[in-house]
Amino acid sequence: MKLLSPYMLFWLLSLPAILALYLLKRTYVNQTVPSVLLWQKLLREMEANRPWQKLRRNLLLLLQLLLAAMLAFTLARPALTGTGGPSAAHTIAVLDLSPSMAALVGANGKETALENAKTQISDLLSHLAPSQRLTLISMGREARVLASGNDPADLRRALDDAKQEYSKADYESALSLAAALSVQEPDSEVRIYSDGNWDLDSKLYPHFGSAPHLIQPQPHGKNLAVRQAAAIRIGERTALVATVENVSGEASTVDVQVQGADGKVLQVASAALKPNEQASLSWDDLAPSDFYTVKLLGDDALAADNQRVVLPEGTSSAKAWLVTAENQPNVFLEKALGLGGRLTVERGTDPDAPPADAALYVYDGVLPKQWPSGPVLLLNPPEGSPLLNVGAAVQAGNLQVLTPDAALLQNVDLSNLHLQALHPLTGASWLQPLVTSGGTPMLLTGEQNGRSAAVLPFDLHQSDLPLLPAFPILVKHLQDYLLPTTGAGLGTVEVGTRVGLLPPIRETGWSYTDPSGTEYDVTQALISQGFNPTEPGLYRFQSNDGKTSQLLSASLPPGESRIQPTAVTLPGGTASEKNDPHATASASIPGLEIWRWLAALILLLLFVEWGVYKRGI
Amino acid sequence: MSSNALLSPTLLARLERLRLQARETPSLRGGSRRTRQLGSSIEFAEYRPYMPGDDLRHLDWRAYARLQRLFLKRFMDERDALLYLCVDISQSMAFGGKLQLARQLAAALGYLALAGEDRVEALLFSKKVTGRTPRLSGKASAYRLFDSLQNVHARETGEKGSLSWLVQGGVPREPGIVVLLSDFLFADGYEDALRRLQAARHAVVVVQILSAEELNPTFAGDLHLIDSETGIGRDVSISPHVVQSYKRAVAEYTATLQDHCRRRGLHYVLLSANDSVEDAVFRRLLPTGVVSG
Repeated sequence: MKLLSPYMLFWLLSLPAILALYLLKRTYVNQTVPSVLLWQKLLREMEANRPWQKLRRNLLLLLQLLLAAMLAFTLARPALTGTGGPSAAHTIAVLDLSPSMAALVGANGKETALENAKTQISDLLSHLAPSQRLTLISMGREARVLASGNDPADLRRALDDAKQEYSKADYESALSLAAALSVQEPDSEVRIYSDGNWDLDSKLYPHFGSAPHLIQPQPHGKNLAVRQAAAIRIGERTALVATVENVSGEASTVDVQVQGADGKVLQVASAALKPNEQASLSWDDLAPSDFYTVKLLGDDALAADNQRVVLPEGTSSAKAWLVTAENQPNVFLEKALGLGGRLTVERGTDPDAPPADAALYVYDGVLPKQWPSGPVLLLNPPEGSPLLNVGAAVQAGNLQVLTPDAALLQNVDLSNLHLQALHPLTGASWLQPLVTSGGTPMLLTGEQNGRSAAVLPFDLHQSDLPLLPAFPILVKHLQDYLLPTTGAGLGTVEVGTRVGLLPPIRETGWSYTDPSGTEYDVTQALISQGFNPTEPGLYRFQSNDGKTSQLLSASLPPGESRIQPTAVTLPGGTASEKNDPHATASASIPGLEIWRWLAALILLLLFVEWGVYKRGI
Repeated sequence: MSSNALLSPTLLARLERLRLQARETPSLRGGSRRTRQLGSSIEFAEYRPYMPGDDLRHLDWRAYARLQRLFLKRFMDERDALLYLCVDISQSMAFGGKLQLARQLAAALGYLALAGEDRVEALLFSKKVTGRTPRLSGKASAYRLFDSLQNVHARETGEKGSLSWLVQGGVPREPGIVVLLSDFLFADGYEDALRRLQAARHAVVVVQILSAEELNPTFAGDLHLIDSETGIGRDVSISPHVVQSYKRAVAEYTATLQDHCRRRGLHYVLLSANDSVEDAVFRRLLPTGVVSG
């Protein structure tokens, strides 16, 4: 039971007022009787010298007090909570499936936030009246309507089918979907079961038909996460760096353990972390292993971010083959490619005679007659090549980043870039532009026939890009993009990121094992669409003869370690309600309002009171 | 002066056929009332042998002629009765026609007594006796009684009705029938007074007259009840519950009085002021044996 307008209880002050009226209103009418002798005995009992005795056995007064109290109570809008039935004709339930919902919640931490939310929705379903509808929207990797209608069995089935996801959720689409549904139906109520850690700009929040209710879980205890980890193999030694973050509000000490591929513990370190603090741990001399697992010991609310599989990058340098236009050596590019020691740059002169052992082919100002066998990086491609249809140079314009989230552009600040001219590329639809300048693509990436390629269609000498701090980072990202297969692995990706399966995995008979140990075949569909890891951990791809294997490490999206609920104010309601401070998403859920029943009861009481008054009881 | 104001001629005619049936009272005057004593009426009672000193006028000479023995012829004695009509004229009697009924009933009883050759004396009292008629006898003097009763009015507020005058030496000396016509709402009680009357060898008839409003109050609400005699007020919130309690209190009070009378051998009649005098006489008094047809 909850009062939605508790301040209305001040009407209870009318109770003493009624009492006072009863005490004060007594104006005694003079009535002469022959003798009060017969009244004497009665009067000894009845005659009230003390005020409260005047009120004894006064049914009318009791009824009026009851009426006033009930009126005040009704004005306070009591609502039944706990029974949990939906109050609106159409309830739109948005269920967050993102990794942070895997956190344990409640006082005893027996269930995850998702399970808790499912239980709440299930409660809602059991109280669904035949006239009420419920739409279940998943806030996962894809925002989808899981089920809609008023058949609880149907809805429950859809609810049970909603599984925890470990990839970054498309929060914005889910909110937009719910908002669109709620705007269509004014008599709808939106309930969002989420922790509110959406990392969305509040300006981008969609406008809901009515203020939605955000039901946020209370996590059970602290959470610590392995934020990042990387290993590099130098000769026989492997160095590993890991960042551990305390994502909760309390200081904590944690033991971090590094395991090898065989599960043997190699090293243990301890870190003391203040609230929301990160600490870097490093190990220099680890025994060689195909992969390492960095694991936090001890329990916390979210277990999924407690370990991370690291694939060591080898320093056994691969070769990058660089061909530049004649008399146009590109020292900046050469130096940038050689940074990090992953590639050794070999200069070539004839673009049509590439060496077979190069891992990356870089063409600056020239193009070969046919593609080499590996990934290519093209800079300032000349016009008139049969491989690419390069147009005449056009004037550069305003810079626009089309995909700010792309891994290639992370920490790459191009806002101070100045270009003179650039070549438009036509007829190469497999190349996707990432950045445009004046509408012309300035950075393109793509994949054709299993060969990845990146194109910067302008002359580096005619720009200040090599002078920007962003340049070496961009080149490093390009290397990572073009050469993802480092060491024995396919690389490290976030869960939910599509990974292109390159040769030799494209050959038949490959299979892969997911982190839980289940083995699947690599199907043609996987090869054409790319592989999508669904949970964090190690994916092992192996050929049918078992001789060759490649590893893929999937990690949790970084923002999902935050499990503490974030207060969110979602806009909703009509224009007049916009300024209502109560119309926030974090407002509590109103249950079934019962004022109608109370009003009927008051009416009935009124009739009783009238009857009592008429009969003068 | 006509009797119409108090009693209708028809009633008077009916009353003449009634007689006051009170227990024998030792009256000294001859009258029409037969007593158990032997006396000088014309009604033969018995013979008894002559004894020296007997009145020779009562000798039955015919018996002597037949039997040669002297026999004395004895007759029943006939005496009158003395009826005291004590009418309460305190202020409380002024309500609901109580005094009117009391006057009518006094007139009726007085008339039937006078018609039966009894003597009648009417006393008007509130706190003390405020007026009394001379002893009347003979049917002709009925009008004097009616006159006296006609002019009776209730006393003003401030004088409490009481029977204390009886206790304080106001009991009539000559034994007779005392009819008390009152509401008996005496704050100082009635037991002592009734005892005094009995002690003076009076036959007592208690006629309690209560108004309909007293028996069954109809007023409601918050009232300041003012005693008509003392002027003292009491605040009462009249509710049905209170009314029920009041009715119980009235029933208890009258029952106590009745019980008191029954135990002491007094006649008791409770009348509502709404009763007509005919009803009072023929329906209420007749069954009790105070009067007989």
